[in-house]
Amino acid sequence: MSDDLKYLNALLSRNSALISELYEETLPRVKKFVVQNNGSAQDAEDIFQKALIQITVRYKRNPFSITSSFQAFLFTACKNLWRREINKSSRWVTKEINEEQFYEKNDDAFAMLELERLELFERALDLSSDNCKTILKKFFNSTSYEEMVKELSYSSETVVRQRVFKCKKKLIELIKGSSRFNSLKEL
Amino acid sequence: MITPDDLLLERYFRDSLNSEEIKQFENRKRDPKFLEQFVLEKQLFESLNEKSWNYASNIDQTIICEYQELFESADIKKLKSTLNMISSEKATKNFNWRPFFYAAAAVVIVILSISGFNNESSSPEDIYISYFDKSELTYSIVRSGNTEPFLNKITELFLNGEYELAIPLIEETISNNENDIPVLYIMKGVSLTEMGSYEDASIVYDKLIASDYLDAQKGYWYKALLHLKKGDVEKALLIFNKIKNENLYNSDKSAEIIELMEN
Repeated sequence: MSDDLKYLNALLSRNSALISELYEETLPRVKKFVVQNNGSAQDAEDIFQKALIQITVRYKRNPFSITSSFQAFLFTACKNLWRREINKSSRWVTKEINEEQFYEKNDDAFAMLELERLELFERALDLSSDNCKTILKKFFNSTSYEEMVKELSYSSETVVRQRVFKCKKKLIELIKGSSRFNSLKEL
Repeated sequence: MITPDDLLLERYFRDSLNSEEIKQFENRKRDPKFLEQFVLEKQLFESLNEKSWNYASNIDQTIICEYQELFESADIKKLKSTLNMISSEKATKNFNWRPFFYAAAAVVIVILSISGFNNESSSPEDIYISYFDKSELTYSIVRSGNTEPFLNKITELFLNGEYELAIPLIEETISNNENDIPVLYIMKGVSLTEMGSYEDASIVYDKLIASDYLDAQKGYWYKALLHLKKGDVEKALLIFNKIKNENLYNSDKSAEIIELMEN
């Protein structure tokens, strides 16, 4: 049995021995990451547990395979959940009270959809050419065209800008072509 | 081909729309096709930017409710119990009595200090002893496989007060840039403070404060404690007031200290 299936089945069958291995191998990395990013060891444990539950529910609903190691997949899920947690203060600025209550009540479900959507975007980015991947990562992380010209040795801002538009268009086509896109799309 | 809508969205996400373009942008949002492009690009910007997060909104509620039911199913509740059990077992197994001993000692010191407060106003040194708990620092060091013995050694020397031996190891770890740097800066600053090298300790805290680490603000708390230890009440109060007013790390404790020092 492959490594990912072994741990996914361990979660489904609540196999304490195998789940304990995950605690020993991955939790220390998660703690280090969370503590370095303004959280506590307890926050790390909460996020770790939340990630294990998220992965189990997703697998139960729609079995999937993991291309990296299970530990790497789990660590990425924890990192993303912590990123979600620390951005929460900006979430309710313009929302209505009823909407906020609905979100709070169904927070686990929203987190799961958001993680799935992020994965869809990252997978599409991975399918892009190396050049597009580099340029889009910089673009979405607000690097100016001027800096991109310097860092990526383009001849001018016009050239780099056209490249961004072309890569972005291709990325959006890949995302829209995915079978998961419609269920994750906002109304 | 780059369309006018592409250019409008580009200027929106680069925060460079002028007032005319803002009106144009709001008008274009009435077009469902433009709106769809805008929503997707917004999701991309928020998802692929490492500093932000794209929260879902306007997702079909039936999908949300269906997912949420799964989280509340009996199987998942049982899994949560199993995870809680594993977590508790690990916590018991890994429990380290040494910090507990130091915490207990700190409690005794606080009680003794508080009893002293009843008779006379507290000295800066009393307050320093009451509020300074070095074992607290060692809780937050996260160990990873190959650096664990090294960090254990630093912790041991630090807790035993062998600062002269701890400092070179702390410096080596900082220069290797592979561990929790903020806490190591603080441990170095505390070691220097305890050895009476106040100026050097102050430089270490200033470096931490000026850094981009999320824990940079902890530097203020330890720098204020340094001034207490040194007996420089005026400087200590200045920093404690800053912590309190700007709601920085340990703002509640700073407010208590201000109250104690002003009574």
